Amino acid sequence: MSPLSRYKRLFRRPHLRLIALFGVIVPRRLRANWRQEWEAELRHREELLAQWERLDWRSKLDLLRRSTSAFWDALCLQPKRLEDEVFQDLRFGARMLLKNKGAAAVAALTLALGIGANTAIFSVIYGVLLKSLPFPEADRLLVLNEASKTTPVMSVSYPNLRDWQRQQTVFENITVYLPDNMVLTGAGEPERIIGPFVTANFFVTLGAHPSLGRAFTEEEDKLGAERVVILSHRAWQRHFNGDPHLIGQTIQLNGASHTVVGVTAADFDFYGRRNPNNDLFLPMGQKAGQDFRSDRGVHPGIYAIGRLRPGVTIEQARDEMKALAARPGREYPKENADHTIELNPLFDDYVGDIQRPLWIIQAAVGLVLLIACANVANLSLARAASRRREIAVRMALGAGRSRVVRQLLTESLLLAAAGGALGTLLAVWGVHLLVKLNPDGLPRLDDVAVDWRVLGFTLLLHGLFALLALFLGAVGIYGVMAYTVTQRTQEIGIRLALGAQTGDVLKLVVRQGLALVLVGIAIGLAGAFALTRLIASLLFMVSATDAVTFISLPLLLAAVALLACYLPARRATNVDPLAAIRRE
Amino acid sequence: MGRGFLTYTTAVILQAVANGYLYGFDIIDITGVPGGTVYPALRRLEDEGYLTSEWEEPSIAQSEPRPPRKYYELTREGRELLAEAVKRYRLLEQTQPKKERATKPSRA
Repeated sequence: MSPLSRYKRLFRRPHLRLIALFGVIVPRRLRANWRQEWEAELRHREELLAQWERLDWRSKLDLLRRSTSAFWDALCLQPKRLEDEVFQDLRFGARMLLKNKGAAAVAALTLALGIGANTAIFSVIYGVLLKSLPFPEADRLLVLNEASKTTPVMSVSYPNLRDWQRQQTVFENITVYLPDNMVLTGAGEPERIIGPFVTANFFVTLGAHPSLGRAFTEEEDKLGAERVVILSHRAWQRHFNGDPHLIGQTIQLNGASHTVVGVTAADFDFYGRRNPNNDLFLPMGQKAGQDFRSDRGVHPGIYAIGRLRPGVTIEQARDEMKALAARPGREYPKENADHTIELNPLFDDYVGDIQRPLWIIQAAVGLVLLIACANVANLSLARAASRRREIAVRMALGAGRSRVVRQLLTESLLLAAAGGALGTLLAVWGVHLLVKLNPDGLPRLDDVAVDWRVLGFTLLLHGLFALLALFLGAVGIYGVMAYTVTQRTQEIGIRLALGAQTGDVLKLVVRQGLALVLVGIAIGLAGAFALTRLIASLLFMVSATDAVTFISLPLLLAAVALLACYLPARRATNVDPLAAIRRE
Repeated sequence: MGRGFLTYTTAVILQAVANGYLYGFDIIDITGVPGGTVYPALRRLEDEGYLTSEWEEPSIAQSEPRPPRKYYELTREGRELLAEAVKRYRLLEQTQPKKERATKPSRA
């Protein structure tokens, strides 16, 4: 047949082609019958139309329309898939797991612990380290410090800062905050309320606007201006029960009336959303005392935050600011000798030194998950040994190798899914607990929650891990181990028959077991040595190579391993030599 | 599925089979119900034991020649269900003419 005629044939009866195509989504075991029934239907139509001598384009369209009915029919058949192999496997897998409730529960729980711990820790890492600060283009926000040889981080002198603000070209804005506190009266009990003085451009620089009222104006930031205040969302809730009419009213701070002009948004996160040190914001102009405004030697605890102009890199900003800083040094050598400016991302200032410890904890729980997977692999290995018969029967009845593997894999998948579900629960609880405990004032912890994207990612990753481990356990090692186990019984029987003493056999098995253990310990020690170097920098009072730990722990491990080898060895010596040989 | 799910369309299809329209396109023609509805309904009725089906002998189909047809037939349950349907949908009985010929070709 020439290609052209084949091509024509393909398009002569498109409605029949469509049936063949739609048949693809029909469950396989129904497909042939389905196609045949629909073909009969359409050919009959064709015949009728031909009899009426109306096989023109209109009737052809009608045929096509009818063939699309087949598509709906094919869709209606989808529930039949429940009887397909995959679902058979799932049902069978579930039955097998339920039959072995203990082992399945242990395996699922092991996986759940691994997944739970990982998700919890990774949620913290995500919330603390990976999520950017809740300000628009937060990576353009930098913290500015003065620094000298003797004091690497120094708060800024106000007159210096004023100079920088005037002379610099790399920042859109530089804002300033100066922590302070006030006594609030007239709203219940007198209470100390903590919050910084800030320059009028504070909220603009951060790109965060009060959710109620407004930010400060330049006028309000001038010396002797009318007293105004912006409250944090937290303070507004706490001291004024979230009164929506508070804007424009006055409150008493240090015995003076202040007009409330704004309330920050609930999600305004300045060093923590519910940071009690930022309960109110006052204009810098209201800060009492004159010396800090004029004396370059005074560093009253002012911190500066700048927002870079778009397109300016932190290196460019550093170069310019260091050049600027050299100027007050020349002009006012008494106060500013050797002073320079340090610029760092605001983000780094938020999270502080927590980065490395968090990643190390993540690595540790990652290892826990690996161990969990190995354990599950062992468990399923032990089960596989007892299922040799079942698998042999399946094979004998005609199941191919791939079919058996697929079935075992489905079972593993079920187990992994159960572990994953349980792990999710554990993760949610774990994160709740972590947030409540707030170990060592971890920054940004208020907003840490199990993020569903994070969870999805962890589940996926660890699902793959777990699956791999399970697969190895269920299929790979299974064959080898089960084989050697039976081989050994016989071999030991022969050894005994040839006159080996029980002691000899014991020694043989234990020696072989211990050889493995020793190799494991050697590798483990090397790894531990490397890892502790890293951790030592974080641990207090523990040297990297603590002799006691490094000797006693391997010894303990060796002892446990010895016991683990000895017990099966003892059992092996109880083999009846005759029975063992007869098993041939 | 209980008998509560007996819709008018299903009843019409049952009636068609009872009246001697024994295969898919015949039923579609006489009832006017589209194929995308008739075939799933037939299959559902068969799954629930109201209908049985049988493929026509390939030799018959080959002698015609055409693809083999699948014939449907009411079971006892199917007849009971239809009686119930007729009670519920009074007009049902008048909807389709009975087919004259003995419809199923002789099975070898």
